[in-house]
Amino acid sequence: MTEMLGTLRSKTAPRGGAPQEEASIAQPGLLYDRKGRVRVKDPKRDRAIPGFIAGFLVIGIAAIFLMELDFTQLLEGVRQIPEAVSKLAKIDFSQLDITFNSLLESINVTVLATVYSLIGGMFLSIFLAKNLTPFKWISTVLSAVLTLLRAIPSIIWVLLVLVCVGFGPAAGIIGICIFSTSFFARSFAQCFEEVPEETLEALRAMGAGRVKIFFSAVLPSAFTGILAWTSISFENNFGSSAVLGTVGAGGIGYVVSNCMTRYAYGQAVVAIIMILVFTYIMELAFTSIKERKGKSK
Amino acid sequence: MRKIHVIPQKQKRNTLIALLIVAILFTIATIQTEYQPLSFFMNMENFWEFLLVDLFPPQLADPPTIVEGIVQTISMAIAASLLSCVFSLILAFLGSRTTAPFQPLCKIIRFLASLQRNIPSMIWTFILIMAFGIGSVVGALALFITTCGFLIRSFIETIDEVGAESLEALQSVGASRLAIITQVIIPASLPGFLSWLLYSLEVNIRSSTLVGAVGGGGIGLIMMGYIKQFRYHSAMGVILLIAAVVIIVDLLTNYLRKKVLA
Amino acid sequence: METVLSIQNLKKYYGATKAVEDISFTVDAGEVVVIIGPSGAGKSTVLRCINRMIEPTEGSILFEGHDMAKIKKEKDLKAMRRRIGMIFQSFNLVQRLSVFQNVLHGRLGYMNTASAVMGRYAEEDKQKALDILAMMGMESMIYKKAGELSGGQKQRVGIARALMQNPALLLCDEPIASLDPSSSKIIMNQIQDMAKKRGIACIVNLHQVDVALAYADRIIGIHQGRKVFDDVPEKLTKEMIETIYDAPIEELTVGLEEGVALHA
Repeated sequence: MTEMLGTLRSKTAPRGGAPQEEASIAQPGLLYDRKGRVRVKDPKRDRAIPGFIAGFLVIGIAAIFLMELDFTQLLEGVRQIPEAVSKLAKIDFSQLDITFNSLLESINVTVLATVYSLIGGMFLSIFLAKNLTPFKWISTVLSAVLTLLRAIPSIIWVLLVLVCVGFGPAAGIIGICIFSTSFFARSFAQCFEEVPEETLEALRAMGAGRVKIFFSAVLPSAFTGILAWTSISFENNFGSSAVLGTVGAGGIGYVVSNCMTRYAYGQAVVAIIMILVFTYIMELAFTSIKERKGKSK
Repeated sequence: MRKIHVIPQKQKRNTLIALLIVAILFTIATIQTEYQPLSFFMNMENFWEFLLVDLFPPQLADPPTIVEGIVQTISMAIAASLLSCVFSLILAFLGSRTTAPFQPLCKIIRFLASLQRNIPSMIWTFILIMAFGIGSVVGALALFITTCGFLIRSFIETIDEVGAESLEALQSVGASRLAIITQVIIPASLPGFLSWLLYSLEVNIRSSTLVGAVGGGGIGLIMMGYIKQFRYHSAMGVILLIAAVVIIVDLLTNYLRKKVLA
Repeated sequence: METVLSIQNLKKYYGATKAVEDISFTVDAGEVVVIIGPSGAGKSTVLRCINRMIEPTEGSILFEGHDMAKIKKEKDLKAMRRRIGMIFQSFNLVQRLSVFQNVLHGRLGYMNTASAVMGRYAEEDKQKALDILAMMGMESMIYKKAGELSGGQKQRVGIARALMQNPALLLCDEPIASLDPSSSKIIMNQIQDMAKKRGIACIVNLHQVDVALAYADRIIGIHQGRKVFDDVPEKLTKEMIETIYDAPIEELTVGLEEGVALHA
């Protein structure tokens, strides 16, 4: 095979000469590198990505130093890992009922926060989407407000609401809702804006009103997107509600932080495993729904 | 007369069932938590009082400490993104069905990633504090672990997506696996990788504050301190500062996505 | 004419479904063989069994004195594959790389691992790529990204990539299915040209009967995984077309009238 290849090569193309020779018979329209070889790509055409990578590397390495990482602490900690693992390995089921109830509370908070913010977000998104909003200025103002709400993590919202309404699930629900509503509004508005203008125009030409257009055209065509965002938001909200307890609100996070401060590591592990199992089941469920949706189309 | 259905019956039924399940869950949750949605709005004066008297005007009590905290938090987020990106890249190539040298490895890596991802970063912080004690080491590690979990999955998806398209052509050329990876898969999936990296940065900027609050150091710990001492004006100042940082980072990543990765 | 490829009793089963059932044919050097049939008839499967992108269930695929179906080692398979060029319906180029790089990908099978991994192509390969691109009228676009090209231009890059392999056999899987009529004509002309000038054996999957009639030296009709026709285009009767496509000729004539125009 290789011999044949050799003869073919010598027939079709002259053997490459020394680099200097190549450069001297440079063809117009071709680019050469420093050694006189023909370039296979034009470096001017994609500077952006290599530049971006280089920039990120520089900033990233600077960040590693700026972080003031305590290396002795890091090494000391690595040595402690086996001991920590052995502490965690003593699984203790003695608080199983309380832990399970806390998990249920976290799930309840997640469900309520997601449903309320879904409704709220849907409502706001109609005013936020540029192709649906009755007045352009509403969209601009709303966008600014929602950006601010979204910039503050949901746990901080919970902390603030906690001060007003006191302990209990309400603080968690309201706090997560504030963040999640803003998140939904923004994502749904994006979905709606992707509905082609021609479709809306056609319906408007037929004399359909705003409300009719929304329910007959916009909502159905954005449905897949809405479903995807809902699943993402539900997962995020569960994450938030699971860690609420670590800042003083209820739910499974409280069990974890409480066990940790009491050095009851075995009980903490049970709680963590419960969180893991639930999030894993959730992931599987959403994936299977998405796949089934994909198949039916 | 028979009714003519516009939407297939099965689809209609599935939607109904889904709505029903949500309604049932909603009812159960409402009963168990005894949550009254209107109670918050009924007690609005409480909220406004808190907002206007306790929170506003925001204060920046100790600028040097706060600046140091902010720098530490941002650095933590960037460093965690960079390190986990490098680490996840290697694991993603070993874990993707298109590029993996042996298939059993794929499952192990996917499982590992799912474990890392499904425990929230604040819980990781608690676990890590056991070994490492309070400080920025814990915060950075917690971010690193969760980011890895999420980046490995995203990178694998990117590789598989890109692979399906150009892989066939290069296999039919008779190219070796390694050559296919460097010549086709890496260049083709680079924008996807970088886009996920930017996303992970957005997420990490937010969670580095939270991780800090429960013992990871940085601005989060400072904020938590103010709240525990009831110094709400100072806490509000820090919170607004955090919001400003998050918005700036979001604007920056959106700009980069449009300009560089388009 | 020298026989390049000889397929005997090729079968491909997916469990109980018979995708390809007992197909045999030969292809000579410089010959353009067009496989026609409705979608799902097994055209694509036959093509991909030849270079083992799909593993055949049974049968022999004799190519340049080797039975492709019996090759065990991946290394040997790769060595055979580089003598078989392939052209795809969706072009399968790397959109972000330059036209030049995409064409040079055709050499990757011949290079040693280190230079292939680093993407260091020999100067003579580059010259050859430039010659092929010039021949296709693409010399002004060598540094353009493949993603910036039109469909017809992309497919020309695809052909150039296949030619870089010095193939003895060219497999074209629906090469014009995503192209407009005028680009389709250019691409089919180029495939025919390659076959005649370079003596490459070409197998082209098509679903347009008119194009098949215009370009084929021989037509193979496949219906539900079985070969039902194998002869020169002149012998393809209306009844035969109806058998292949399982539909009355009236439903297929929109394309056929254009085929008459192509002939003239």
